[in-house]
This record gives sequence, structure tokens and C-alpha cells, in this order.
Amino acid sequence: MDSLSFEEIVSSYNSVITKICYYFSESKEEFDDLRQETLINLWKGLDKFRSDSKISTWIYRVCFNSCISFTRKNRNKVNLISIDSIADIETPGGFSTAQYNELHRLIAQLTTENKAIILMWLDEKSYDEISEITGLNRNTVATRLARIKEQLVKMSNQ
Amino acid sequence: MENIDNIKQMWNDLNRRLESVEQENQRLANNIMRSNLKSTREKLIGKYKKFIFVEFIMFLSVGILIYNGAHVEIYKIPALITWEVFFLAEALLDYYLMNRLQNIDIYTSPLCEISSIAQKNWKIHRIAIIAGLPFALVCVALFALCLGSDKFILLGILVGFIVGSIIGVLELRKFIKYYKELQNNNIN
Repeated sequence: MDSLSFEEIVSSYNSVITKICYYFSESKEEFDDLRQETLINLWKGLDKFRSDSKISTWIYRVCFNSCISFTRKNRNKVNLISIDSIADIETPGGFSTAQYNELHRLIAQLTTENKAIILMWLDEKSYDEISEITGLNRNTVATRLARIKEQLVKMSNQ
Repeated sequence: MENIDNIKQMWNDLNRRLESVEQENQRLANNIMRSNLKSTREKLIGKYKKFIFVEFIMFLSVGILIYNGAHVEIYKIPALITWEVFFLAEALLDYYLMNRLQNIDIYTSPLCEISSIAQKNWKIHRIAIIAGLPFALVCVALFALCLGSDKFILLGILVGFIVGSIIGVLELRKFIKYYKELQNNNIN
């Protein structure tokens, strides 16, 4: 691996880190804590990264592991988090806050593993990449993804 | 929410909404890095302070020991001078290196500047070790010559030399680690 600095990694994978932390948080405070913890884990883990996988794979793994550990330590119920509390800027012609909140609500109802899978799929990761990051078999990823998509559509129509 | 395509579209649009948050990530990342650099710098400064204290104690105690305890007069003055010069020089050098580290403003100095100061410091430190080791051996030899009328005293000097060397090597490894962290600006 070229010697990527911590700053370069955060800069290149900024949106990944933010989105994953956003979808695993339930409040602004939790988002701030989770983001801080994820960045610290990336910082600490960087010297142990051995280039035996792609840097993006490693980053996804660290982000998801940080979020899942944090969730297990701190979470009881599923609550709604308003995107307004995190991102204040409305995008012209974009989706409404209510729609983002609805998306967050739907994804929040998934198990942590399914959440990770769907977030990676939404980020246009291939089945092979998702399989590498999660450690699941490729066919399992494909099957799970199909079920998750059905579940999301079903939940959204309820 | 109608279908998966809609969800995907919304996901992509989310990138724009979160751009302002991403700037905060950069600031946080910078803080994490600099906090760690600050912590490393403080560990190094702590090490130098300890060494300066030990060198001061040795400057006083060994000086008194040689002056009052020397059995072989011919070696007394050379031993006294070499030991005192050795410990004084080491203490002054450690103070100089510590000062250079203390003057680094971790939060506002460019990272390349921090790396450069750390590099230069480490170079001076290494040169001091290379130059100081033969001098230290001469000091120990003179010490043994002027005090060593008794085999137990000689044994004590030998044991002290070995223990001191082991501690020195262990401390050197820590110095190497901390300087490497400061030079690389990252624990890479």
C-alpha cells in the first residue's frame, strides 16, 4: 500500500464514514460520539493495516465494526433521527427531510448485519466486495440482499 | 417510499446533504492526529526530564563519591573530571533537545515542520549516543581504577554497568518509537 496518511483516508472516504455513522445513530449526540469513535478506531488501526485487502474494504470493516460495537454497548430501542439535526442544508430539487427520515426509520429496523449489507449495496459495492467485508459467502450476500430489499419495500408500504 | 430505485436515488442525494458534516470529519481527524502527536511529544519530554534529573543526581553523587572515596590518587582527578563533564554534557544536551520539543506548537505548526524538528532532534540524539558511549566506557574504567581496591566494589561497578546498559537499551527503544511517531506524523 502506498503510505496513505490518516488525513488522506478521511478525505477520500469521508462520505462513507459519515453515512455509515448516520445510519447507525439514533440522535445527534450518538452520531457525534459514533463518528468520533470510528475516526479514532481508523487512526489506531492504520498502523496494523497490512494491505492484505483493499483500503476501502478495510475502512468499511472498521466503520461497521465500530458502529456495531457502539450499538451493542449503548442501544436499547430503535428511534428516529432527524437528518435536520445533522445536515442542515436542504438540497434544491432534492428529497424532503421527511423522506430521509423515513429511509432512516426503515433501515434502522434491519438487523445490524442486514443494515451493513444494504448500506454497502447502496454504496454500489459488488457482491464480492460485500462478501469480503462481511465475511459472508457471496451467495449468502445475494440471497440476503434480495430479502432485505423485499423487506424494505414491504415496510415502506405499510 | 415506493421502491428500491427510489431508495438508491435518495441514498445518492444524501451525499450532498452530508457534505457540510464531512468538513467536520476533517476537523475531527486533524484533532485526533494532533492530540496523539501532543501525547507523544509529552512522553518524549517526560523522558528527557527524567534523564536530566538522573544526570544531575549522578553529577553530584558520583562527584562526591570519587572525591571522598578514591583510593588511587593518580586516577582521582581524571575520573572526577571525566564523570562530571560527561554528566554535565548529557544533561545540557537533553535539556536542549527537550526545549526544542517543548517549543513545537502541535496544533498550529504544519505537520512537515513537526516531522522535520523531530528528525533533527533524533539525529542529534543518535550522534550523542555514538559519541557518548566510548566516553562513558572511559568514565567507568577510570571510576573502577580510582575506587576499585576491593573485588566487591569492582563487582558492584560491573553489575551497575550491566544494569545501566539494559535500562539504557530499553529506554532507547522507547525514544526510537516516540521519535518515529513524531516524524511520521502518524503511527503508520
